[in-house]
Amino acid sequence: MKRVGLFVVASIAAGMQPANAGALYGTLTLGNAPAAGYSLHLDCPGIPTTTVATDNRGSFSMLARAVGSCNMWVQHGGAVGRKFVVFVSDNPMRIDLSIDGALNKR
Amino acid sequence: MATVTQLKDPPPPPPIKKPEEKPGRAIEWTKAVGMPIVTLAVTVLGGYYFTSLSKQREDHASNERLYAQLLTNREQSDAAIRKDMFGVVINSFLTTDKTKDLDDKVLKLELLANNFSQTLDLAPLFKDIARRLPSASPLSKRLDRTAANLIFRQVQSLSRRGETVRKTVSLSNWEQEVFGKPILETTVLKSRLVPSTKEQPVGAGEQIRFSVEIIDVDVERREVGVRLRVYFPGNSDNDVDRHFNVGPYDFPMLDNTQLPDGLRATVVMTEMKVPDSPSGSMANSFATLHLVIFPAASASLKERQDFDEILLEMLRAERSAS
Repeated sequence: MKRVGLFVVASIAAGMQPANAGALYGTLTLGNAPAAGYSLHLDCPGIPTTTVATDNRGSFSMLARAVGSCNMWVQHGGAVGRKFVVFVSDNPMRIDLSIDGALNKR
Repeated sequence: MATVTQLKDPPPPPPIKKPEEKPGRAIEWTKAVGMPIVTLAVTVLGGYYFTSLSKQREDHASNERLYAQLLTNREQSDAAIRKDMFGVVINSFLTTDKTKDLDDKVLKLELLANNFSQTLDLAPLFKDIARRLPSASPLSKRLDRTAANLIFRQVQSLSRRGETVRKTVSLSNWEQEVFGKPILETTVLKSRLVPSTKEQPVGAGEQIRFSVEIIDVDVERREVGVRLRVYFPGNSDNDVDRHFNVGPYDFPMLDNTQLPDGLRATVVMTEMKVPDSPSGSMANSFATLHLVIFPAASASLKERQDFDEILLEMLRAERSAS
């Protein structure tokens, strides 16, 4: 029974980790201006948190090794915004984000 | 008695010969004789000149009409030949058993590709044949070579009126080494690609920036997922940020992204070396990608141009002529 349980857990975990990672990319803006040099964190169940920085146009690309619902948040210096939900896939997906002065998603 | 001598009336003085009487007559004679002659001469010469000028113009117009007629006839006969050829080849290609005689299939696809690549999207046919061929077989390599040569010819043709950038990228450990980093980047002067008008002037220093990243690699399908970003000067509403897959059978004239200002951009592949199986080593894998930017008028005949694009193309032609 224990083996069956372990097998089921392993299957579920394997199911959440697709063989191919899907790219999540887009632009982060602060109001209407590009948010350059901001950090984006992506936390999906069962995999380490992925962190990327936006470029001088606020653009970012990250690999999401999961399928389904994940949490994302923005950090700049010592300030950290609230977490918000994003959906990721094993196919590339574009997501454009706009944040306010408190780094929270609008 | 004195004699009075009567003086005779003095003889009348001789008539004074006016000097102008002789030249006056000459002028009159000249007028009387010369003017008709001059008039005749002017009439004859002028008539001859204008007649010959008119005839020249007529000949010229006639030659132009003849030339246009010959061109039209040539185009029509060429179109008729191509239409017959296309009918024979495509019917034979689609109706014969696809599992047999793949050599013949590849030959027919080569014929279609070399003659109709600008009017028909042949990517589905290439992909279908490629699926049926064993990977790395001679026929598969021949198919890839045909596609790559055609893509390369189209890239060369398009780059004459636009811009192109090429790079060979290693796909070994691509997620760490390549992902998220632009592999193809270029900045183009907008005035080089877009004519300036009074309504929409183009500044001398305005630049359009292009950036391509690899965001996915599919070994089994031999495709790479790319992200294309285009930044226009000034208005960011025109900026483009999209992703799409690029494979060995995507042709630039047919498979491209529509941009503002009558422009198109495309990313195509002329080479991709990957392991023969998805579980094989990626150590020696690479892909050669081309970013091509060109006016919409250079795209395939299959691609309909917007009215704005047609106007922009007319302005480009006018600017080139001046």
